[in-house]
Amino acid sequence: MPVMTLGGQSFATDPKIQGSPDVPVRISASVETLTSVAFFSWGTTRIGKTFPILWDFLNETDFQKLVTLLNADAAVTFYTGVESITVQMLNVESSYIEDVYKSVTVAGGRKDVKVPLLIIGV
Amino acid sequence: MAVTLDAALAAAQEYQSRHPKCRLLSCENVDSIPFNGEYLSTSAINEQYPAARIHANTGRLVMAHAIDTGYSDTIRYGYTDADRTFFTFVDFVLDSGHSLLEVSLCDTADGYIAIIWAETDGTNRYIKYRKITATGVNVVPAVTGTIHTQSGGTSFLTGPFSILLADDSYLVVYGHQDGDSHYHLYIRTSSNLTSWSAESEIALTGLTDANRKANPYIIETLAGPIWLLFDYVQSIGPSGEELTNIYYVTSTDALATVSAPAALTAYTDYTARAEHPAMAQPSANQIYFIFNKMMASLHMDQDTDGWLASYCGIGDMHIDVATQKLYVTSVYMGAGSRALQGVAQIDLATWTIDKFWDNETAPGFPDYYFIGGTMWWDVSHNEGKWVAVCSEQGLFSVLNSETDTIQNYSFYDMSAYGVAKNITWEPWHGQTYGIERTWIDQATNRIYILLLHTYFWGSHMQVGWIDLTYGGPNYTFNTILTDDSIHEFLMAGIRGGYGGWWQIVPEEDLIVVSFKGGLLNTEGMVRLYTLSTGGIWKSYTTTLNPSFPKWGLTRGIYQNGIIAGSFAYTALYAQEDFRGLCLIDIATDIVTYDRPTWATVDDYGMYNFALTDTGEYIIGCNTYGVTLYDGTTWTLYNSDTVPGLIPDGRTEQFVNALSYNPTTGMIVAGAGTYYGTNATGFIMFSRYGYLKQSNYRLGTYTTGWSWAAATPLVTGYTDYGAAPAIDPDDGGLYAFWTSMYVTELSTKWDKQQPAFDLSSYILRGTNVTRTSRIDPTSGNWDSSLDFTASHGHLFDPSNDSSLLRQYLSRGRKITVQFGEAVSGISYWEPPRHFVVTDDPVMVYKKGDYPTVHVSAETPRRRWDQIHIVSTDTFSGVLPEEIIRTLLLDHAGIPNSQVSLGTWDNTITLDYQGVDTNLGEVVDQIAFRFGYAIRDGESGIIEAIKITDSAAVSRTYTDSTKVINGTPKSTDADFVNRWTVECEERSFIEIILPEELAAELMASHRWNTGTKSYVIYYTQGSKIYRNPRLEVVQSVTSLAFQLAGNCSETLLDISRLEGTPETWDTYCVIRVSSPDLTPAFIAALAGLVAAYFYPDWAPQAPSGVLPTYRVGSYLCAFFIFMALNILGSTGNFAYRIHGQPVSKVRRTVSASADDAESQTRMGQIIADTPMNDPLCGSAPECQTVANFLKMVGMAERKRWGCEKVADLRVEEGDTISLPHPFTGNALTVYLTDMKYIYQMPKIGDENGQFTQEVEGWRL
Repeated sequence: MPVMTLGGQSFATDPKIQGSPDVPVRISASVETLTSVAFFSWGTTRIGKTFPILWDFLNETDFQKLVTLLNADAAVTFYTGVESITVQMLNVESSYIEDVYKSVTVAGGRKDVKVPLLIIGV
Repeated sequence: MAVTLDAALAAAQEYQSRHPKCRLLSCENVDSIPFNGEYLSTSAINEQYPAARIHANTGRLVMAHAIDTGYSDTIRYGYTDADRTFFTFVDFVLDSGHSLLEVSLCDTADGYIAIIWAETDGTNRYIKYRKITATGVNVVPAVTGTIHTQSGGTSFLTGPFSILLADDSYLVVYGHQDGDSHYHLYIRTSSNLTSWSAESEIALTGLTDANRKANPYIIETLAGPIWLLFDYVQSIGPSGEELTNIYYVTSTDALATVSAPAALTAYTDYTARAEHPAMAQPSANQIYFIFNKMMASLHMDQDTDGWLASYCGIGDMHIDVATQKLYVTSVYMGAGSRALQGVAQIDLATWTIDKFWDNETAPGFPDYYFIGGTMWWDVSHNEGKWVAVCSEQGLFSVLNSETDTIQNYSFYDMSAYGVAKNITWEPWHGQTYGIERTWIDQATNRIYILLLHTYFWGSHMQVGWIDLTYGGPNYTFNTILTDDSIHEFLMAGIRGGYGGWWQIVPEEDLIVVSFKGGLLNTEGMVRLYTLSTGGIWKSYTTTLNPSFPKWGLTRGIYQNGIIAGSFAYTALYAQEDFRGLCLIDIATDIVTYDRPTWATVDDYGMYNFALTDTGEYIIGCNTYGVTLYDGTTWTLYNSDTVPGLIPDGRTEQFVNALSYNPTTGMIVAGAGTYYGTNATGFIMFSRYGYLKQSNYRLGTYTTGWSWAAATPLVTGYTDYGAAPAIDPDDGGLYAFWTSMYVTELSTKWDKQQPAFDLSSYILRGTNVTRTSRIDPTSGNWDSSLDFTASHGHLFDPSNDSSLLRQYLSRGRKITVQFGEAVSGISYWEPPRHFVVTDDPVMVYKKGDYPTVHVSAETPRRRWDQIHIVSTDTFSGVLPEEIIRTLLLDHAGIPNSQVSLGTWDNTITLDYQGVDTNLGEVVDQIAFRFGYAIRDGESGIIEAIKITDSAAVSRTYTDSTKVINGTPKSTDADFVNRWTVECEERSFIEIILPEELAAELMASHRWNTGTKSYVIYYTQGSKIYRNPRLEVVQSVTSLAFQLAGNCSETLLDISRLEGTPETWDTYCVIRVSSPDLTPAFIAALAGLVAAYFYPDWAPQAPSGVLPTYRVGSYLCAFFIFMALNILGSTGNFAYRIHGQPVSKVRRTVSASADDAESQTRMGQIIADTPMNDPLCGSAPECQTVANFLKMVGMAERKRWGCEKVADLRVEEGDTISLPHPFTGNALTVYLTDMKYIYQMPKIGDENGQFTQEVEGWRL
């Protein structure tokens, strides 16, 4: 039973989530000094992190839902539905949809659909 | 001096692992209140009735106002995003033919917005509602309807104002008249917005039913009770004028029952009153109470702050429309000397005096205007930035308010008053002329001058112009016309102080001169000349044209072919029907008269004239007031028509020196025409009636509410009806109000914003760079800030919809702080202040996210742009104090912001800077003592000592923080001798070869005797020693020679009897001639006696003997003697020679040598000697030369390194760190600092918080 929603839309199957959107990134840098190294840290954040969601196959109806979300030109809510992920609700933006090719199945659809999501709020 | 940091932050500077932070705040340079405001729109017309609030569910700022789009009004609803960064607007058009009366907004219980408004269709009045989303979308199905209907399209209806109560019910309040024409306020309530209760009157005990209550406003205070505010007509004056104040009641049951009304304003007369209340509460113990302050006029006189004279008679006045400044020339109008009082610049938006110029200011007007010159009023027409003042004796001055300079022009030598003749001109008849009128034409930057030879038996007139942009030192008077064809008595009719007027009309090649008649029954005349040729075009007199007023035009104005003027009424000469305004059509020569409709009298007292931008006449009328005439309608402004127009207690009339401000529709009028010591000051009032300005009182709660005095919430006097809202994040006050420009109404908005935090907008992966630098070779200090911000479209100053657009605009104050997160707590260094140099750099390009690059500079850099004509004269003042005073006087920096300390080797100075700028003066003084002046931490102005011998303030024992290091000497030169020269402070005297010092020619009469003559050497302006008398012609005559000796003696006694100022400036010549008075008396006595001594005629027998005429001879002798005595006049001529004395200062110098360099280079390389005006002796020169030597040598040994940022050090500190190779301690005096802060992008490790430092190796 699919549980993930994107922009309030549910899909026939849940996508795979690459990366860990709930795991923050540490913003840091280092500079070598003459005899040591200086490390600079600005803490951790999830905002700004990009992670893709992938479907091996997405039917045309669901695919058009993604297109509609893209055309809406607005941030949407991504609900992971994965209980093991501590942060299940994210505000995300997406710039494009990547699909490999159109399926020849009767129902029609797309294979290997990938949507990179940028976290803009949690 | 090292920077003092919080201990935790200081300790963090030693860590290898850092958590850097950067905070950027955008601030206003001055208090944001009173608001200047920004237009919400530049396109919509007649915007008014703004309402505003914060939508509780979303945090959006929402507002609504009415716009007049034609036949049907529109409610324009605006909303922002949740961060309140930009506006989006949605229109709700009323039914066809309906007009909007007032708008109110409130939240709904289910998270929507309710617009509740009043409108009229001309037959009935309604209160209606509409429910929308916060983004302006009608809910579906639509929720809209009518709350209240009353018959009568023009019947009184005030409000509505509505709120959502804590119990999620709705309360609306409004007011109207009842059947007895009594005024009441009513409420209706609703639980669902769609069904409303019947109206219920609010019981306002103690208020008169028949008096109007209007503009109700409700606020549910944070403490709970509801406050209802309204304006109430407290009393009505005899002319129907109303005194209104703001009252309020409180209620704990949604206004079902209320407390007794109490006043929140206390205006007591009709000159000012309060209307249209509003309120906003940022915190439990603070509240803004806002209202319209209604004023009949604004007044200024000698008691106004900034007016530096003790008298305020108004001579001339004009408005610079472009800058909205009023210029007022004040002249004493009482008995005695007509002296100039000064010129004032008034800011019309704030009605405050910006500047005042007199003979004690810098720049200032010559003393002559204040002690010797005859000044008149109504003589100088000024325009734009130019203000002329003139004295009848041939001197005039022109103030350029843009450059703050005053240029003096003199037709004659007035050296005694410090002004030499500098006008090149040819007096027409070679006679003395007086300046009677001037006229400045801003378009051509010319001043036209009317000169009059004022001797009655042969008067004549000469008119010409001078180019105001010419740099001098001499100025050419270009004569346009000369005229001696006018009767002497009539020519006097254009004299200052008598009457008459003139006008230059360049666009019509015309000069109009009105000669007022009446003197010895002389007919008045208006004569027209051609400007380009000076030829007479035509003249008007009663003889030439019987319909022209007998005594001419007293005052007047010309426009579009019509001369309009005032005149003295007479019932004689068949002119008994000539009354009111005289209008002369110069094309047809037809003269007509228009009578004001506001009175039926013979003489309307018309005096001064002005024009509106659309050509209406503004005329000051003695006894009656100021009238506006548009060719059809006469409108009168006085205390009867506009109650309170004349300030309370003033008896004079304000009908003189009129000016009109087309931007605001304001009329400014000076006191007159009954000149005297009581005729002082001037008023400003609106042609449209009362001035309206949103004011506020800040309420503070302790045990009860206390209210601060009312002050303006907005600038401008046609800005009113403010609707407030409070920013839920920072507590700042938003205000939306109506601003009237002429007759156009617009909505303006602004926000009280002490600081807007830009930190979250700093673009990752880009640098925030802060630099600061001492230039040890000049004493200059400079600092800058650069950073890049995201959301460029919001910071775009041209984006009218953005609420953030002003935060990075040019001139905005930016404070920056670097800091450190220590154990999760942020610690910050003291803030540094900057000013945005230019509007942010950004480009809109498809595919690129808009970012802005911002460059900011230290406020100190502006000091170089502050021109100073001359500073105060400092005598015996310490340099630290001189700089403090200069910063206060010329940059407005308060004492509390200046902390210069006590300098090493400080001494008192005598100093005055002339034609310089503030930065140059400060650097010059500080550098003399080896200091540089900086904008230090928290904006405090500090002094940094430039030295190679300061104690080390920070020692680094290892190189763990050093990224790289390099020795430098790139900016150094090979100079090894530095010389400083100066003039000694004290003078020495030099006696020059003898020359002619003065001459004396006079005569002695028979009874003059001995007389002493005081002879000043060339008017006393030169000093001579050892005077010697040369007798060119001695005093002598026959009688003097017979009576005894004559003598001449020079007495050099000035040092015996004079003051030091007059020593050697004069001598005394004592001329002695015999006093023949005794001899004359003797001759008269002899003559009398001779009459008694007859001729001797001896009798002989022969009868013929001669007669001996003894008596006759004696008589003749004494007559001869007396006549000779009376004719004894001795002329004499002397020359006094002397040795002129010149006082000079010796030039002294001192040098400092870098002996080691001289030896190593094998030569002396001497720098150009520095002339230091702040030195006064050779030892002082030596001190400066030694300093220059220290700087020159140190500049050859520089060291730079890049290191991990250490917020404890700053330029001017001396640090010690290990040499990268040897490890030996390297001591460096820091002159240059550059912080680089870069927070990396996610996934990118290019980040840093480092500092590049550079300075002298010691």
